[in-house]
Amino acid sequence: MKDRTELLPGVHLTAVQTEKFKTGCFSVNLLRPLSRAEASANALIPSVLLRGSEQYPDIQSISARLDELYGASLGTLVRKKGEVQFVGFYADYLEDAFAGEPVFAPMTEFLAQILLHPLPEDGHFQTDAAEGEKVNLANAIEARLNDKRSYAISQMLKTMCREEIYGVPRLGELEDLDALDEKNLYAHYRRILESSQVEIFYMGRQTPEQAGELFRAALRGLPRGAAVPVGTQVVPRAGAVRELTESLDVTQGKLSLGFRTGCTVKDPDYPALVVMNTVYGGGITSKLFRRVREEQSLCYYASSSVEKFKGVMVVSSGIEFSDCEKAKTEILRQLDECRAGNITDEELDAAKRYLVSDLRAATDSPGRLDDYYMGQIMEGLDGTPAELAERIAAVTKDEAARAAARVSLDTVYFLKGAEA
Amino acid sequence: MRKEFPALGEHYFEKTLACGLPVRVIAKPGFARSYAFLAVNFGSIDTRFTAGGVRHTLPDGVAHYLEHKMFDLPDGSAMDEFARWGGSNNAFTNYTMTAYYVECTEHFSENLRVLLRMVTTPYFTPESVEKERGIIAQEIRMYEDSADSAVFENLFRTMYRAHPARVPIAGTVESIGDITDATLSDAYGAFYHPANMMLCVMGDLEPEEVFRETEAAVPDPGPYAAPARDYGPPEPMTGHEARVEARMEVSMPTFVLGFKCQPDGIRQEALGDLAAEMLVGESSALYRRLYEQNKIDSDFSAGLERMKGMSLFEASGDSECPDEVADEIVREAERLCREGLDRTQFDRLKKSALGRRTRELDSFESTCYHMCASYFDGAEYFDYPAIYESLTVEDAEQFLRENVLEKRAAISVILPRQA
Repeated sequence: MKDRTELLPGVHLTAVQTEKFKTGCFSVNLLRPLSRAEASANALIPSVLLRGSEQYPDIQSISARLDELYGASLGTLVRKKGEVQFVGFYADYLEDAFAGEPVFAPMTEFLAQILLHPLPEDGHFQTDAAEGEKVNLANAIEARLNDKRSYAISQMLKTMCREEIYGVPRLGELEDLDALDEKNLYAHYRRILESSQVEIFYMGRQTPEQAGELFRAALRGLPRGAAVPVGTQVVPRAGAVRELTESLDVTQGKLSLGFRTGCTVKDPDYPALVVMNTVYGGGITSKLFRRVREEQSLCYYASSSVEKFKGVMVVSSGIEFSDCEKAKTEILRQLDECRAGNITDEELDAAKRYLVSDLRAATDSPGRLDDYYMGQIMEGLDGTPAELAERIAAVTKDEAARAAARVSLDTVYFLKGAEA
Repeated sequence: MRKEFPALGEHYFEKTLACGLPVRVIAKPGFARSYAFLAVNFGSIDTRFTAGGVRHTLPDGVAHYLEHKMFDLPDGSAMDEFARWGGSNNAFTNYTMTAYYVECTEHFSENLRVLLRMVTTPYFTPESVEKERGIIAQEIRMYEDSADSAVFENLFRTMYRAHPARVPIAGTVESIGDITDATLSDAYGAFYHPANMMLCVMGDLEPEEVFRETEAAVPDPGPYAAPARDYGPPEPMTGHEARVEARMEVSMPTFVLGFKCQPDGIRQEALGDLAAEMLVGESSALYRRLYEQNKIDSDFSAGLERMKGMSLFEASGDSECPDEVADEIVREAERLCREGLDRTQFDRLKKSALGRRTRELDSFESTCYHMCASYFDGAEYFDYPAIYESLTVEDAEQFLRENVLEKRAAISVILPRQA
């Protein structure tokens, strides 16, 4: 059902043809090794490009063009998967069949126009655009604070991985923005165009061949050199547990725990880990939801999730300040239950059913397929969501318990209220 | 009955069951997911009403509390049942609606039956109602820490004198203290009748089977006497107060600017959204100026919000200078009304809005929600192309002239704590 082909040197298209949707979509991703040195520059470049091109010199003409294309959207894309940063654009648009005229072909040209033909001022970006987007990116980095749930998780991960590349946030660090200007940013832009593996994901009504032809034609001006390799270093086990407490003026406490799983998507035990994580803290049948939230009313939410490239598991919960120790003890006790194999048949079946259903449902979601295949490609893996679902359905209780036994606590982070 | 909407390439099957429940099935061949959405025409603003000749004033937050407790069944929790059939379920309450939904890739009939049984089975005990209080109090505290909800709640409180939108959807930690099993039974009795609900289903499904399953699962409680809802006296067209400011743990100021509009039908929503695009949408001159001066960023948005008894035109986003943005919006509306709106721009924006609305039909969640919200509003959601067709540039100009005025305005600002 999906098809991957090389369009140009180091430029691959993964295409899924479907008639199910009224919306067609694609993403164009430049793969960069995550690093403090270039993370903020990479995060900034798509935004600066979306400020103006030769043909569409400002945001007003860019938006007007998208309006003409039946309200199509072209958005900036900055993702972090393990220790790899994906930068580029994604596009959503009304399928030709519903517009009654071509929209997809003009969108590929529009993408190429924005990606390859920025409005140059003497071999650099427009100063106003670069400076303006630096302010926006600085605000976006600082906005981490606004959602306390994700803030607590990101502070925990920063602490946990402070000596690893993974500790670099998706959008880079605020301090690194100062050194960027319209000249060095433009030079970096030219460099990443030439030296990055490029992955395109397409989902829509065109055949992979038709879509491939249009992308090949649109991107023929892309400079091509040797691509920098990308990958992720995994820390298999935690050392001594690190603890960090912060205070902010909030009314609800946030407790976030970081674990090393020693198991990534490439590991044969990965399906067992995913099942274990769901039994433990994924959704409403999980131990964290049932025992910690429902039975003991210790928190409003408590859930766990795994990062499949770095081998990290995160537990996140919202609690009363005074319940911190009690909640932590109970959260860890439930993991011990998993390690000891104290998993009921109902828990195991519900978790597997949930995961299998979720993977099936992923085929209805272009965004999730995009994310899934980009991750697989990055790791050099080939499996489809349906194949993963099969492996998950076969996981036994013992295998889930063994996956839990590999999990070790690394970092405890608690966000509490300001002192009175 | 099959209804066709050729302009959208859509159709659905509709049947109103003997118990009064309207059911719509939108067939989606090729999809792995199936989705059932059961909406009750009862939201947080429906706390004052007269039913059976008796006047009720229920505590704030009762609709949301009731939503939490509907998951309890005499034989356990509906969540266990969903889990058994692989259904992924949830619920939400907003100002005007309570909705329960489930999605699954297998056992759709079983999951649908659980959903219907759960919402048609009131089961509240003093103990279980008491136990929920702590969980809901935590949820309220979480909203209290969220600037995104606080900035709107503060605006509503500032703008309206009596309309119940002044109160947060989940109520307050104090107001939910008064909720008992008897309160929940009162609310349930007044609003949870099949005739005051709608079931909307999407997926690769057989409509007749869905009708049959639903008919069998929903008991007929007899005729429905709809309560008379009270949203307070008509609001004056000026804001209650013009400005509200609060400090929270946020990284930069966030704001909502509101202009009070005369409450009106569903057409006003499309018109208000288009007028917003003309005035300060991404392809407008004002947006470009504000964005290039870093006074707004890409999170900025504007449009029309409406519910029973109220309607407002709003612009919201993050800004270091919200009051300057507010001034510029009022002045730009004046300028546009003086110089006239651009017809070419209007036509392009209409095409854009229609394209985006049609793309939204790919989302089961959005389609079912809008289908039910429109129905409770007395409108047909899939008629939106005709509504857009009927809107003219003169309508948009008149809308701006009447509504985007300083005397109609109020602004809510959340500032960072340190400063």
